[in-house]
Amino acid sequence: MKILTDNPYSDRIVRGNSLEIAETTVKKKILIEPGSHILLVYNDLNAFREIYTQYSRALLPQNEIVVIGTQYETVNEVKNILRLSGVDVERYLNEGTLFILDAQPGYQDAGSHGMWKFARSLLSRVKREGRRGVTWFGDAGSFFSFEKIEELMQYELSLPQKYEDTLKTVCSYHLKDFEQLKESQKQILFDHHFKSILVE
Amino acid sequence: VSSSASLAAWVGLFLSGNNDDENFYRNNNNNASSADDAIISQQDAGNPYNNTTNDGDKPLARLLIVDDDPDIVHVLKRGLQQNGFLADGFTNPKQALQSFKSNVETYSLVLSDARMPGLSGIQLTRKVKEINPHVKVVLMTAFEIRDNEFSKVLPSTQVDGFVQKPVGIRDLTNKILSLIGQSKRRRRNEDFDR
Repeated sequence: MKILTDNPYSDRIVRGNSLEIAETTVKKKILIEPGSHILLVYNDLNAFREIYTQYSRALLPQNEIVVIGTQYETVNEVKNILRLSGVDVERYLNEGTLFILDAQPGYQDAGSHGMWKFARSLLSRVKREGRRGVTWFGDAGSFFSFEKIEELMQYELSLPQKYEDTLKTVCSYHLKDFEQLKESQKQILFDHHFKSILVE
Repeated sequence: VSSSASLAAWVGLFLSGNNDDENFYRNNNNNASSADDAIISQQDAGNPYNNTTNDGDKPLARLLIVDDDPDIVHVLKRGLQQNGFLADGFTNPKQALQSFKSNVETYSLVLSDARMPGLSGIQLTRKVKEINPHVKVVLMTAFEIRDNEFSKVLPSTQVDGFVQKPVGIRDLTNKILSLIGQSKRRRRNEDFDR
């Protein structure tokens, strides 16, 4: 894993392959700290899978609530991938600690803040039930699909760089989508997130 | 994992799960080559390679198939070719658009996945309709199709049909033939009016 040194945001941008990122994110816990608003750019779907799978496998047994908002694979595909990696999907779904959602209607129909409202309700549960926290992986692909880049930027900028509670959001972008942004927009996103993870 | 699972779902429908499909497939492919002959590599799925139908007859129409899952491109291309279509398959929608631009008069219908990173089915629809408003576009999705989902973002660019994955080749063939038939009738009427 390399830390960029030629970038003004170097202390907050981390590059690595999916295994390195997954391991660092999960085992060393240096990337996803409580309250973090993270930008994740993944170069292919398998990399994204590796990260959410390792994270879910490690954190769900530790009383974390995990939400996976998917864009380029169906809810059932995500379930199957988690099952194959040893996650007891049915148990966590029944407990209400694992949520796998289609991100597109979440972001586009309910408005960007529909998913945000849901996150706040989960945080209430965290406090009530004494859980560790909430981690939210949300794929932003639908904003690109519907060419709503301005709405995407507004949504991202409406979220703080660091939350005051135990929420962690991982705003996830397929590299092919992220590359559609102007350089200035990318820089705004790097600047606005607590940490940025670029999976190569 | 997903790729294999989706292929299994498609192949299951295609080869065994649906007798109607199987009979249709057999009845329309007396001279079909072996399955091995029809298998293409993933690189081939990114480029048009063999634009002939298996029976050598005049093709029903030329189709552009686009899906970021190479397995789906493979199965659709094979099935539709064996049902009498010329079919080009692409996993990269930008390459598909380039092929469309280069062969704009020859494509009758674009069959595209709705959700693809880099260039979505909606964006691709808009671009191909700008180039040729007469071309038919069918979007495929494995997700639930909600009525207002696309109309909100495509008010002036009509998607001609939606297909819920997985779909049998017979149903897909019928849908394509129906759309192409409408298109041909409309163009004949336009010529007559002139």
